[in-house]
Amino acid sequence: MAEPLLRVDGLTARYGQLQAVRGVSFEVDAGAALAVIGENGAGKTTLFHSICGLHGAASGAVVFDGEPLRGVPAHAIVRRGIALVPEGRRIFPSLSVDENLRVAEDQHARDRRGSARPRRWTRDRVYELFPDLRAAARRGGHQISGGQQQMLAIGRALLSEPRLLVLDEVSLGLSPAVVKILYQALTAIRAEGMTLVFVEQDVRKSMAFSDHLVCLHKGTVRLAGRSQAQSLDEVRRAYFG
Amino acid sequence: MTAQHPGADPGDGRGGKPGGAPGAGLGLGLGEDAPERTDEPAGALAGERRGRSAARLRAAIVAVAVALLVACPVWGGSGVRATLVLFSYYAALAVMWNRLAGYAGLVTFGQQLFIGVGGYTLAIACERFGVGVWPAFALTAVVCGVLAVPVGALTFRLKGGYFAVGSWLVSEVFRLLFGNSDYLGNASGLFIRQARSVDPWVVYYVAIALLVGMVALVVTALRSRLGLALMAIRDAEDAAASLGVHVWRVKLIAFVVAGAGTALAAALLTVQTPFIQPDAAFSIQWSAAASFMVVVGGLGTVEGPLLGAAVYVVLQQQLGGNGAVHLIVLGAVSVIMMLVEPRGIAGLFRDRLGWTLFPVARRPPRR
Amino acid sequence: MQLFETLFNGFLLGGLYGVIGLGLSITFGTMRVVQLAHGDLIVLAAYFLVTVLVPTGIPVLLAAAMVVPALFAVGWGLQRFVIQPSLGRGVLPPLIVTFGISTVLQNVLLLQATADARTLHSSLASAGVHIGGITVAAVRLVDFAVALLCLGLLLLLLGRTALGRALRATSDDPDTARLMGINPRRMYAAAAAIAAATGGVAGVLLAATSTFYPATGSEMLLIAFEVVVVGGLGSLTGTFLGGILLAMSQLLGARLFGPSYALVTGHLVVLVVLVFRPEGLLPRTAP
Repeated sequence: MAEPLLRVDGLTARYGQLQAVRGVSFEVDAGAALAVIGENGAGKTTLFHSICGLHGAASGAVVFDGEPLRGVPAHAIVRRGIALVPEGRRIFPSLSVDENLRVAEDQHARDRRGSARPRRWTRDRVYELFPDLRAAARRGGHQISGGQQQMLAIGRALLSEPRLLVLDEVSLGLSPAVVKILYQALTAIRAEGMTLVFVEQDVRKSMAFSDHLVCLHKGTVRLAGRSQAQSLDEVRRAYFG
Repeated sequence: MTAQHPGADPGDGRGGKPGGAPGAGLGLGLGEDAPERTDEPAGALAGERRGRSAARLRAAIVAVAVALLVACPVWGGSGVRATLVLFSYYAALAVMWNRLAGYAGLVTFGQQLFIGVGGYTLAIACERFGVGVWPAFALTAVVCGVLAVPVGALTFRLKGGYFAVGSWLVSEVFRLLFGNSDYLGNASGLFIRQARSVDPWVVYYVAIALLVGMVALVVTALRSRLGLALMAIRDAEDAAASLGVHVWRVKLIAFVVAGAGTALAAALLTVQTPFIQPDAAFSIQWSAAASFMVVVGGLGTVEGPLLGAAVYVVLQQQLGGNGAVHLIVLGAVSVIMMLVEPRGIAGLFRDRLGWTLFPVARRPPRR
Repeated sequence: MQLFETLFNGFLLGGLYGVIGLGLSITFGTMRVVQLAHGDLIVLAAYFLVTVLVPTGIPVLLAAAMVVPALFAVGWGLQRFVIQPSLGRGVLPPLIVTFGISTVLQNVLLLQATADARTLHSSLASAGVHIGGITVAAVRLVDFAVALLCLGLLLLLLGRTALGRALRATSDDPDTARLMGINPRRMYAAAAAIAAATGGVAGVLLAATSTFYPATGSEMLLIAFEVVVVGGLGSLTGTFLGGILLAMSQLLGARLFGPSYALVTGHLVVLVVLVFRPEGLLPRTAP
């Protein structure tokens, strides 16, 4: 059995005075998709921030591709192959759509100087994946719609050539039409072998799109297992604690 | 339905709740002043007993110090007196600067405005209007307190570093205007003839009274609701506002009090000198001295500015007339202090030894 | 005509004021730090040129060119070793630290170079140029041209290069910049170095245009502050325009009220802008 791509072991993290994440453990195999669900305040964002180095974890281990991530700064974690699409998208407002993409692309070009590995993602491919963005390429980051921002955030993350894509809130606040486009894109991304960890408010959708799921409540894992094997009732109970 | 604290910042580690426990004057300063470090409340009964004897010890120390100061004519000569007066107005300046920066979160490099205006008020009152020195003294506080209102209203529009330099700018305007005025003696300033006939011991007692009064004012104010509001603003302005604290009004009150206090220190200085010149009175060096004293002594504590002023005066006496060297040392020390021990000497005592002289002082939260 | 001459001279001087403020604008825009030692870095550059480089006999233009990389290194060093450790803990530490650096710099210069006024002696300083019916100091034309060039280069850097994009991204949102693989510390060091280099240019121009002594550092800081505030936080072009507005105000004030009122007029104009348009002339959407 191959080593999982991502292993989180007993992770504990604080959010101010509060213990937002308490002893969370799970594994993700390469190429799989893991859905993380839970209500607001359950600790999902803190969990992701801890994995991606934006937040110091108090204890526990995060191991990616066999290498521990505790103490590694966020920008170095990107270099190792994890990209986060943050909650709220966090588009750079004073950069255009195209420049938002270029920032990630430039940095990755710097980081991989001399490497023989071919690029899998380029700006052109991102524009193919999200044609809406091509039309808006010159517009300011703050001038595009929420759906376009999410597309841009995903495109940006792809340009760091990650092996693991983490998405905090895929469809929050977006229309069904946009959500459809997003999931089509995610399907295409998965088809290339990408490993996904994502948060999706629509529980049914998250169960349909993932191989495994983890349900957090008040910082602890209440339910974990294969998505197909869970009943909606069990999930609902775990969700609400 | 979130379980998040108002005012908590992700990735910041601060997350302290605005407003400390009222009347938390007991304890040795390790527990109640560091809510973000302890997860359990300090042990009740033992803490109280320790607290009461510690409080008595503190009161004793303060009483002895005040007694020594009052009895100065008995044990000290004119040299000691001069040093203590010097110490008093530097300490007063530092206490006021600390009140603004350490408690209200208002870092200003413009307090010299009140030193200049305060000094000139005294000078004009005495020289041009024949007012007595001591009544003029009180007048300076009133004038500067009133002046602080429009100045504060204007400069509060700026935030952070821009507020600091903006207040400096306002002071510069006054420096230039006062320095260009014939009535005010242009660049050579004014000489206060009356001040020459004032008994130096009277000046001394006024200085001591001023200092003790200011410290007492700061301590009682901090234990009041106004003080809690001040510290809430310093720690998390937006959160404080959302809790109903009238941020602007509280800041303005603090600014007015600091202006009046600084003016009194300036009046004292002017009486002693006894002349006033625009470039010296409105010099940025006052703000440099104030900020350095407070940073070295301990920002956000009551005893910090006093310690800092002591260091400043000692350094000045040691390094003699070489102003440049004095400032280089002070500047370097405050940079190092800020990087290594941001809570200053008082903070060192507090953290390593658990000693604190005025325990209401809330230090700024550590990262 | 006289009025036009005053205004035109003010316009030209504004270029110098603008370039004085550019460095402050860059550091604040990227790190939210008001670099209180910026004025003293400008004066340091001027002293370096006049008391160290020129006396060795190097041709003035070459010496001027050497000042800029020297200041670049100083800015980088100060950021990396002194200012960076003070970041992230609120507003006060960087203020105290930069103020401390300023005090130390000014007083070290005082000790080393004394309080004598200095200037770069060159034929430019006294030469006049006649344009139309007015006389303009030649050096002011040079100042404006160099300042405009500096602004142009900076705008190009920020707008068209990878470094510029990365700087702008970091300035918008340092945490998300991390998610792009950018190390904010390196960006801050780059910004500080570029800002100091701009200060180097300003210092060279200062030396060529007027006399200076250690305390000029404070004057420079005030000018920088004023032009940034008037121009609008976060906009380099705004800073440049702020410089023009300030310089024109000062020269107009001198003309109308007398030479000793130049500075006060400038200050008062800034304060008026603060009251009625606190966001400045060209505010950016993202502060």
